[in-house]
Amino acid sequence: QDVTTMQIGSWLPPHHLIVSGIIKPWAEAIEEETGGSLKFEIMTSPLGPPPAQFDLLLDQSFDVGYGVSGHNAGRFTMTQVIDLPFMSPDPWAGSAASWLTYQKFGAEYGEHNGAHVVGLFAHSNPNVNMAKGRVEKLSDLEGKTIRVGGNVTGRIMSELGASPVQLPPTEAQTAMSRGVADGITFPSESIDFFGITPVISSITRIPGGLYTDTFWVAFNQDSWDSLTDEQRAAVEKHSGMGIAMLAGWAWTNGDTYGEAKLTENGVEFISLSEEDVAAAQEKLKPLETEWLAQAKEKGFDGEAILAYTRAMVEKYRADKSVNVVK
Amino acid sequence: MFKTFDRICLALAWLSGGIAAFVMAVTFVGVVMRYLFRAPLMGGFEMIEIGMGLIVFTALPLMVLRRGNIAVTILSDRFPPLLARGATLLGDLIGAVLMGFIAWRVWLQGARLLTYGEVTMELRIPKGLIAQGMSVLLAVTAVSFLVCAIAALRRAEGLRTSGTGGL
Amino acid sequence: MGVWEIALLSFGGVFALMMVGIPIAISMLLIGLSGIWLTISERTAMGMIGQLPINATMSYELSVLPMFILMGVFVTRARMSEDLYRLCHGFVGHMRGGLAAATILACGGFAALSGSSIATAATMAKVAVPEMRRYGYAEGFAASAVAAGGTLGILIPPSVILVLYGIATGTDIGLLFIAGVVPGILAIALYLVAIRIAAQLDASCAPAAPRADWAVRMHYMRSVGPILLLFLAIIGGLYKGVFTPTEAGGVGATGALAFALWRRALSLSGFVDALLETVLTTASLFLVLIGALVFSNYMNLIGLPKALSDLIISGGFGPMQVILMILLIYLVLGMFMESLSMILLTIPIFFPIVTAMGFDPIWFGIFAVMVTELSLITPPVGLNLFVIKSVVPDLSVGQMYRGILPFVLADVARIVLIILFPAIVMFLPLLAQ
Ligand code: NA
Ligand code: NA
Repeated sequence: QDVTTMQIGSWLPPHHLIVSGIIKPWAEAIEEETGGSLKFEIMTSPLGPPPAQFDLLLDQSFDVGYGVSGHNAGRFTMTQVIDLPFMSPDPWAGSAASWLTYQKFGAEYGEHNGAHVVGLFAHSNPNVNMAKGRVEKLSDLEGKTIRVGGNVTGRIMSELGASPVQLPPTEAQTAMSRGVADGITFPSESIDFFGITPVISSITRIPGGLYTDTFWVAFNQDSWDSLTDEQRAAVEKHSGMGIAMLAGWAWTNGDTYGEAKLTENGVEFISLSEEDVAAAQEKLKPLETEWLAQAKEKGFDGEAILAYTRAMVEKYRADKSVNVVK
Repeated sequence: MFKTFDRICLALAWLSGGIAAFVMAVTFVGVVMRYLFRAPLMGGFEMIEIGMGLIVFTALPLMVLRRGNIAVTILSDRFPPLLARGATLLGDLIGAVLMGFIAWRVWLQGARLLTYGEVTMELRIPKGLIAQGMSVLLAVTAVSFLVCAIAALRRAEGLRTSGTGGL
Repeated sequence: MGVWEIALLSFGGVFALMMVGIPIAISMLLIGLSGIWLTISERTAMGMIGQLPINATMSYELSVLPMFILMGVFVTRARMSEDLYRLCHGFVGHMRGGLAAATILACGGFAALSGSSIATAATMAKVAVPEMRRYGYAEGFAASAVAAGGTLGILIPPSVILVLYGIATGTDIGLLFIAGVVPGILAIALYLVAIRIAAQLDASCAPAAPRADWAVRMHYMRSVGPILLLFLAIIGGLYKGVFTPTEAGGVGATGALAFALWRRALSLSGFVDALLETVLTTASLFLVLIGALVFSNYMNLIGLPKALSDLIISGGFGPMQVILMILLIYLVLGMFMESLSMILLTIPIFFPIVTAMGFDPIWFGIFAVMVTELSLITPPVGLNLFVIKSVVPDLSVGQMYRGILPFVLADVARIVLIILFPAIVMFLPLLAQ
């Protein structure tokens, strides 16, 4: 039997949930499905920083890659519809809606030419994690220094009245643990992953999901074309919604684990009130308006795409009531 | 002609020094702003990032011209003069070809980034333009290597690399 | 050809080009790029070299390098190295081997403001070597003290090597800096012990100078004091979390500029020259960085990290065996290789293996710096030895090799100590976290 081995470019440590909880199980499922005719190898050291991953894939530095769409500002704007504020209430709904929307409209975007996208996913809800101070009401954010990872989160934080400080992940840890920032926006999973748990005193949840990031998983087009029909079918069987569901599980489990550690440390969990969430939504409306304008400029019906994404989110929300007589 | 090129390289290096001073000021002001006014310097992160890239590429031509490349000269210092000259010439020519090649590829990468419309996150500067700026400076660096090669052909002395560099 | 053959051939190629005197960056670029082209594909090579120079340089965290270089240049131009030396001389010069001890202490002080070993060695050599000659020190011994003291430049924070290590491995640079403090003090102590023993064995190599009085000591204390405060402000600020390492660089450079202006030691043209020196050093450093990245990507693409970890697993080696093997590899590489490229090329390969075996990333960072320090003073390729030779041209190689031996032994003893007692490295960063 001929065995094809594909290299997966990776920029995260092997124990990160994206690698161990999404990429690895996905690759293993396909290996098994093909009876071992298609194998994957996850590279242990990165060939470039996260924003370089898509171009590395296009240049065939590896066969399969993954990355964060928002790391290449302006490049994947249409794909990133789920990144808008309050779009993704949980990682299942966000991932499923992101992928289903892409399946319906993505071919026209042309944002991934040269690659074959097999999955998109979102991360779990970020909270406002405070080392100093406490955020019970939206107005409590006023004057707090919050570490953010990129300009969109930075924009969100300044619209909500906080002063964002943009720092790379390696310095985020320092910033939080030693007081350069009062708080940080992260899902509970990441708080624990980056070793920030000991310094957190309170965590404010924002129901509805303040923001998320669209991750992509893709083959280089030539690598994809080199597969046999059976191999491609096996990949497709475990990709798309398969990847979205894996992501939902992985992030939820990661959050459960992280929250257990945080609770153990005596961290207080607070939820933002409904009125405050509504107020935040109102304050963040401009981001949506801007996205619609960008869509229009690119010749797409942004309203229709947004409506479809919202409909898909409703279909897959994790808090949907079932077994109820209507 | 060599004089003019030398001046161009020096002017670029001055520009590089200016950017370094700017990065220093932006970093310092960012800290002060955060503590005194509890407000970060908007776009400071990116100014430092872009500034860092420009510091390197604007200083490269003069660094090469002044033979500031880090090299190990323990063996080549003992070469007979003709061989030493040959080795230096070889290094300069390889350097020129490599820099020219890299300049070309970086230019194309810049063009690629321009077609995708990729911009820096905060200041929204097209990344492709920054890349193509770097490409031009790399091309100037290739010329620097050529000038060094010509100098190596002309005379044997005074063309050793300094051997230390900046660690 | 298998992975091992390709890797060996490629490392050999870089090494051969380096030895002929071809710039290190150019050697690594040439072999790395053509290697990727031949073993992977033309498309991968072309694509990688198109985007790597952009990604490798446009980095927020790397801006700390020119900032700390600038700080070192300002401090040097403020002409404080001489006063620093006089200060240490005033306190310990009258003891046996005292001038050499003063040299080590002054190097330690200068290292607290400079991230570079070469800059530390070169600066202190100009001050200390003539002084030791005046008192009739053995030439080789005097020069070796400066070469060894110079290596403190990358162990005592700030440190160019620790910054590069931190960025390559995602380790907290602030904590790495904090972790360097205690081993730095240990290094000074062990060097002093080495000097004492050497002076005891051969009294003629290191005679004592007359005792200095307190007026002299205080005079130099006032002159040097403020700049040592700057070091405390930077390390204290990192420890207390007033700023991040990148910010510490900017603050440090600004502080050093203020210090130079306060001492009226910096004219406008001096300021411009300082900037020029900084950016030229930065450019040569980054060209090596780009070359090393291309070459280590090449090793990554041919699958060397995986082959190496497979070898370790199949051999059933334990953590201690692995770290000793790595130490051995570094000792051999360190004799022949230039230190910056040695670290940049090996860390991506060793780091995943070492951390998977349970070693702390911060501890391994300090370990890596210590082996680099050793490589700077081991013949035949020891950059600090070359630096001293350029300051003292009539020094014979044989004298130098004899003189450096006590310091090499002190370095080896220190490495063994941190392997046996990792807490020497770890306790301060654990306290800061
Ligand atoms: Na230092
Ligand atoms: Na050596």
